Amino acid sequence: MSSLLWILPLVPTSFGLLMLGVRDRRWLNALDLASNALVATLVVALAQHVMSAGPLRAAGVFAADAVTILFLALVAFLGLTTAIYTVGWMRHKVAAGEIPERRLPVYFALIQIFIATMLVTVVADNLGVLWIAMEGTTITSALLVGFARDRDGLEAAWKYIIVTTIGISFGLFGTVLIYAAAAHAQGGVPEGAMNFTTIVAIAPTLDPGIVRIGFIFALIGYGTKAGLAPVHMWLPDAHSQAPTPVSALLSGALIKCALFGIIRFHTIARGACGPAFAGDLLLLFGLVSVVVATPFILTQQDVKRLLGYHSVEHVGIVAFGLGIGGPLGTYAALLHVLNHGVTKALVFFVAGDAIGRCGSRDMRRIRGLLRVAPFAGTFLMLGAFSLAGTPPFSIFISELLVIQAGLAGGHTLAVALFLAMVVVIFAGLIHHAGKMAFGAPEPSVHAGEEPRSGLLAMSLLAAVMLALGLTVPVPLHDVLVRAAEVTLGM
Amino acid sequence: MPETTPWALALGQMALLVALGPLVTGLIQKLKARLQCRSGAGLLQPYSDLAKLFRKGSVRADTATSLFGAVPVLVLAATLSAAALVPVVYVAPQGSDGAVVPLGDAILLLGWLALGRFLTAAGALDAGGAFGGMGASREMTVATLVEPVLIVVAFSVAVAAGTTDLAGIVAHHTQGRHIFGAPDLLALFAMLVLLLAETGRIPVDNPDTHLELTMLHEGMLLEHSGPGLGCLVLAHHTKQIVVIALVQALFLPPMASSLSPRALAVAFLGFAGLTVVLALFLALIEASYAKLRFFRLPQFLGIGFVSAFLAAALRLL
Amino acid sequence: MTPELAARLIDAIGAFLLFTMIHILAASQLYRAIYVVAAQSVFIALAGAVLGAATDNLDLWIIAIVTLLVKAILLPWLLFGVVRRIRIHREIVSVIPITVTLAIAGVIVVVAFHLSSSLGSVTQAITGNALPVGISLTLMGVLVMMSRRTALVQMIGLFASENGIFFTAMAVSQGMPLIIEIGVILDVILGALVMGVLVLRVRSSIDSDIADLDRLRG
Repeated sequence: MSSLLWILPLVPTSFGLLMLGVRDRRWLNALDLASNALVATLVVALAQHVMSAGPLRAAGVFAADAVTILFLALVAFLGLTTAIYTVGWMRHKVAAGEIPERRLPVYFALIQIFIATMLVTVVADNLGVLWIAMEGTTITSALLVGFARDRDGLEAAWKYIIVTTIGISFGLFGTVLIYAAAAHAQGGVPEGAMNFTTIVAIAPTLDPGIVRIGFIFALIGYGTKAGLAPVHMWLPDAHSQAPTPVSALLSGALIKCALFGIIRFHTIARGACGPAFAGDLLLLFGLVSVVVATPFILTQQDVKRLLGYHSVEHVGIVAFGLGIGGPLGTYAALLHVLNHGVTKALVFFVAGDAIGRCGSRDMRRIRGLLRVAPFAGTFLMLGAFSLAGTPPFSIFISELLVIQAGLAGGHTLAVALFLAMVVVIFAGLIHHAGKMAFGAPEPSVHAGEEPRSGLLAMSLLAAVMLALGLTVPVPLHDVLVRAAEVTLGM
Repeated sequence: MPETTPWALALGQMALLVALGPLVTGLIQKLKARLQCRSGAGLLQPYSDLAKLFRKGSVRADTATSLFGAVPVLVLAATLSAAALVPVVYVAPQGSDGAVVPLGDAILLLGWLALGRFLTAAGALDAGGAFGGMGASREMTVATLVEPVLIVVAFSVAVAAGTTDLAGIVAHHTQGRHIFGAPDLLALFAMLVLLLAETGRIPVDNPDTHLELTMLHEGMLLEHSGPGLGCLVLAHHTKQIVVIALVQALFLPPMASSLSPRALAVAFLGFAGLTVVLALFLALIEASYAKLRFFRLPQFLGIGFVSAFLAAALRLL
Repeated sequence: MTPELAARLIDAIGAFLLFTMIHILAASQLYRAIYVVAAQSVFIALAGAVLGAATDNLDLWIIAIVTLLVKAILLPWLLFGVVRRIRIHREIVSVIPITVTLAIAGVIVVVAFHLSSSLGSVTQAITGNALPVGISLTLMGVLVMMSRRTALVQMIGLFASENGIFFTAMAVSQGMPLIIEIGVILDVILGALVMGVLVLRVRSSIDSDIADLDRLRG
């Protein structure tokens, strides 16, 4: 069973390499779907095992506990829905001549390897492997961001790769410090000092000063990758210039994987320095992210950039929840990871459709979506309401839990500020979405047929979104509770 | 051996440096010529040039005052005083506890060199020519960048030795109490950068040129002639070898432990060897690089500055 | 090799590393910067070899050799290849004046010393001054990446920063586990390749340096 941990990232990797030799678009789509379906099945099997039999460990490099399962589920689900969406999207792109046929294998292969690196990030027990996989995601996704080879795309790709690599170097530095602290606490023996499970076990014996500095560097590092302010500048560029499926994966899955890294270091810091230090830092940066993102959301004109800033805000919410801490806050933050991932992917898909239809990313040019593409328009409104935090959708639940936890923890001022920002963003987002969905479409836009695959993907995501808004199903609840416990080091 | 007094020691070493100064210049010229695949002038050419200058008559500008006439002598005097302060081959111990006879302060030495530079610039301004003014202003700009760094380098070495007295620093090195570590390496790097600036060589200044836009030091000498120019040229040679000897004294002093002829000869050979190495370094740099544009000098000298700063930081922290 | 000798050698290598880092900061020509970072990687390899000899750790020897081959030979060769193919002038453009950069470098070194004194308990005596030097190298590499608008120099800053991290790892724990080190170097190679690809893509379609593009705002 522990060999599943090895097999999991190998699946997309081998499919990706296989895809390099395939030319036909339909075959590539089929392989894409097969790979993601296989990954999803494996994740389900892994989840069942971990929830019933406890955490898995493999070769001192990989491990899977409840937190891992949560993130694996997110990555697998998003991978699958993206693969479904890509079927129709790619057909449209190839027909419009925007992506030449000969570059298709490279695209699909890169997507697979990208997913593989994300999987490795999440199942990594060794902090060094975590870092290497994180850098691997940067490298593959940078190529994907700049795939279109236009000027803005390349600029975004370069900013992305440089800023995140700078940030992640800090992360490596923090990793080295924690490693040194652990080796030192073990009496100078470096065996296993890089493994998360080992470090957490000996966390109370670690030198708090070193762990503090190491945590700060790790927070800067993985925070850059996650899009926490003030190192979030690359995110709107990269997420807006990337092809739509890639944007969905970036916003939905990748920044969550970076949050996974932060969570791991958070657990270590909690064990070594007590909950206040790490929690306060996360609270601060989370709140700063939310505040910083707000004015940009209001004044935005590019729809995908809007969504990018929105991701910054939601990463801030997750950090905020983690910072509040306690069982409720951590539970809320982890639930939000899932909710935001799902919802953001949905809205990105809709936005991608709208952009393809209206030929421009400018929101002033996208109008009357409901009339031109009724299903997409509906999903747009649903997605927008969900992102803004309206019941009965999932994000409302997790945001409510975060607020509850914050009030219970006594952070009234922070919660008040948070609420104010959320209200403002709600107004802005609904305003933008309403203008896009209603009204008269531009004359050049034609009511074409909506690709079924795209609609299928969107329906899947919307269903999950709605379901999680109405209730948290028991298996998921168990996973979340266990994950919160692991995060809190209990 | 006659009993040595501090005076004799100082004057002896000064005479040695003055005598050898032009030879070092000739050596650098020869090495540079060889590197540039030409045969170049002879090693003793600078001596011939000096002799020629002292034989010639001098011409003075109408606008020059008596300061102009006094400057060459004053500059030579300042440089010779600096030469007297640098230990070359021997540092005399005094008393049974091995304390050395103080030869002179490193800061004082840098002060003499600075005085020489100031006087040259003043003389150049006094003559009222355009080249003189331009050369003087540029030289002073370089001086503001170079002199603080020299002092920082001297300090970083002095902190280890416990005294800024050159004899004390040398004794600290030769008596094996000094560990040559990272701060010393960084200070040495800084000193090598400054060596180029103080000796007026590429990439800071081009000693061969008399073109308007490329002169720093030469610009200041342009108005002088005859014996005055001879004094200034001799001062320039002496300053070059003084800085070379300073580099050696601060970092790798080849010192004789006693006054026996053999020890002195060995120490002198060491000094000569290191001087040749540094001359080769200067010649290599001269042959390989072009002169930097003037406004790029701060960046180049900034390397020296940061190195010296790091040396001091590493020493103190 | 006695620990004492190793400590002194590593001290000396630290001085060389700082000097090369200053050169990278003050470099105004691309070729010079590439040569200097290659020299810096040679020194890092030397340091790894010295520490490996002093502690009889084979892993460190392997890392030293790999560093030498990859970061001192392969990556500079790659960079030269990219430089040859791009037509822009090879001067390095910086956002802040070089003199200010050098001043900030001085501040960084002081900060690094302060930081390393609070990390003191994990430093090994065998590596002497390596920890503050490593921290300053890392931070100065980041400074290069942030203050230059020439893409290749940003890459050079990345390599220098990674050198610093390796040196720090050596200072606190005899280097990281071998597999991790190899993985990190592999990541650096791949990152460099991707960056090179991006730079060349921009060259083929737009006549400017990729790090100079700034149309995406707000």
